[in-house]
Amino acid sequence: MRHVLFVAFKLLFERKRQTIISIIGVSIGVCAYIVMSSLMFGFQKFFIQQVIDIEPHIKVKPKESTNQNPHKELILGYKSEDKDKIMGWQDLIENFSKHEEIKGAAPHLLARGILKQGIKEKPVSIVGIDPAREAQASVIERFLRYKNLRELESNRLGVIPGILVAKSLGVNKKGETLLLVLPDGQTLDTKVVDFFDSGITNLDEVRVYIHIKTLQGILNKHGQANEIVFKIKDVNRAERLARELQQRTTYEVESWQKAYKNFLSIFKIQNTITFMIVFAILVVSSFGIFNIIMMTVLEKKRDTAILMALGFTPRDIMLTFLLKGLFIGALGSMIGVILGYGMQEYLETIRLDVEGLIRSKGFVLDRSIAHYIYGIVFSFFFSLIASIYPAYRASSLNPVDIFRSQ
Amino acid sequence: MRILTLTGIKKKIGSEEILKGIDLTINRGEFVAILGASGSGKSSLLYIAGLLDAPSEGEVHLLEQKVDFSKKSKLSYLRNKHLGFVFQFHFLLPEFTLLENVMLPALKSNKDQKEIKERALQLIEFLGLKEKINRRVYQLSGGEMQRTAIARALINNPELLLADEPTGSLDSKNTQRVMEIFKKVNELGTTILMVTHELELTRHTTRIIEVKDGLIIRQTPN
Repeated sequence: MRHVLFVAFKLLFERKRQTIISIIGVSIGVCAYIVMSSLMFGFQKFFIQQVIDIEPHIKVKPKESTNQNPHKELILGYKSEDKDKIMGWQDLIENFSKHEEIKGAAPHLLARGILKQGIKEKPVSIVGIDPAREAQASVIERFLRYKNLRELESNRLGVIPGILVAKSLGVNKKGETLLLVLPDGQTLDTKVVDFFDSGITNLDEVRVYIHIKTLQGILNKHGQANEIVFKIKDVNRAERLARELQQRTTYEVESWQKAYKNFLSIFKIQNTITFMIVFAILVVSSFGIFNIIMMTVLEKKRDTAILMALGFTPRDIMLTFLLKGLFIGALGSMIGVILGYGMQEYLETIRLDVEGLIRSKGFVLDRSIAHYIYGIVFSFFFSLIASIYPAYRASSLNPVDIFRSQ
Repeated sequence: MRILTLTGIKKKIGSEEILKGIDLTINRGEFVAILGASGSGKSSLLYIAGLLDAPSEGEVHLLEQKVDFSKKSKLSYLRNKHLGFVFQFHFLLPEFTLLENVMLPALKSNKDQKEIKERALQLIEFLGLKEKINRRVYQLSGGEMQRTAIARALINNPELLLADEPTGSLDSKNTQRVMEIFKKVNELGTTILMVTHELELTRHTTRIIEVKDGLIIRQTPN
């Protein structure tokens, strides 16, 4: 091997300018991969983490198909209000909570309504919660500005609007009053006890929390709940557990993955697009590597023939040229990693209001070492692929043909 | 002892038959010249003898072992261990210094690098190039380049040194010097097979083989 390294090292400095350009190409590919992956996965992980923290890992709700039965009124004992409630939810919680993977459960009463402040109004999704139970089933308190979830207990007219709901109504202080209007026309004067700020626009612009008993009272649904939420030990097993629990109830059991299926699908498409872009960059840089090694092979035909005459095997020759490609990949990777790290550092210092699916005060980055490792592996892979054919060409030269042509 | 035996060697390139049936034996310690005009097939014969090219027909025995031309790695091993080459053009690697060029074939062996360097330095001194060990190829004169190529060919202490028109690109002074080196190397025990078209060069050799139109037409002890 020593003889191969000895020659390969010298060949590295052949065609310096083109070699540098190829190294730059690989560096850009690796840097782009690291930055794009950390941005993309940062955003996705942030979104999923917020969803896992705020939203139930598993929820039980009335089946939609029940509502669509055209003959439901003919079913003996059916009452129209049954369609929107979970009968015996206390038993269901007790039953499901026995499962070793369930950490906590809480009832919800969901309703639609409008919040008003003066002439401003905002359609909202009202979530009636039991603050004591809710704390066991989610980490909602972490997303409250004043961490005042328990105040809903002492102040039954208290509401916790999403930060964007409050913003659109011009409310920004605790204690301000809001008029809650329900679909049947009933109204309730409420007082803001806190603000809910999850960072997920979809939730923050519609959700309002209120004590479940207050909502039950105003809707005349005493003791009722139409959603039971569960917190589980391993969020990644939610889908499997939901399927298991589904066997025990006629209500619909839904995991967080199913509830956010559309978003997760979009993430997959987003990942594919990113990989394609980086793939394209690396393919272009691979052509650079291919080009330079091919040129070197053609220029070094005579030297290759001499090396063969001196006892280098075709395998030695192949390795010699492959090493050049791998060197470009290695140096390109190293520079790409440094550039990628620098870019991440820079992006973290940028302060700007990101408003979209999520809201943050800057870029949310996932600075996992895995992105660096994948970047390096990809660049090595492409460098190797680009070098194989030229190296093979060099190894299959017939030295006598070269000597005869001199 | 027979170093090299060629039996019934024929070589065709396309439809043209370059070698038409050569039988040749080189014994240890000989300095053999293959003499022939351009196109006589002498270089083709040397390439086959040097295991660089396979004959179309016939057998090659190196150190009394039959050579299998289908095993390229084995051929490379045999070339590296038992053969040394000197070509008309020095064919040194321009990226390397004089010393590195000389050391190159030995790096493939398991020998210690220090030992290789010592052997290279001995050869370089023997060939009068001591002052130029760190010079690049382009900083050497034609004669110095060819002497470097000889040192490279001798680094692995080959059984057989093959030289293809080794003085073809040298002036008379350097030609004389190279031939004296060959004579000295041969006296020290290295067998030499040299291809040339110059009769004058054969006076240092122990045997002259004349080749014409792909056939040996005469063999004369010198």
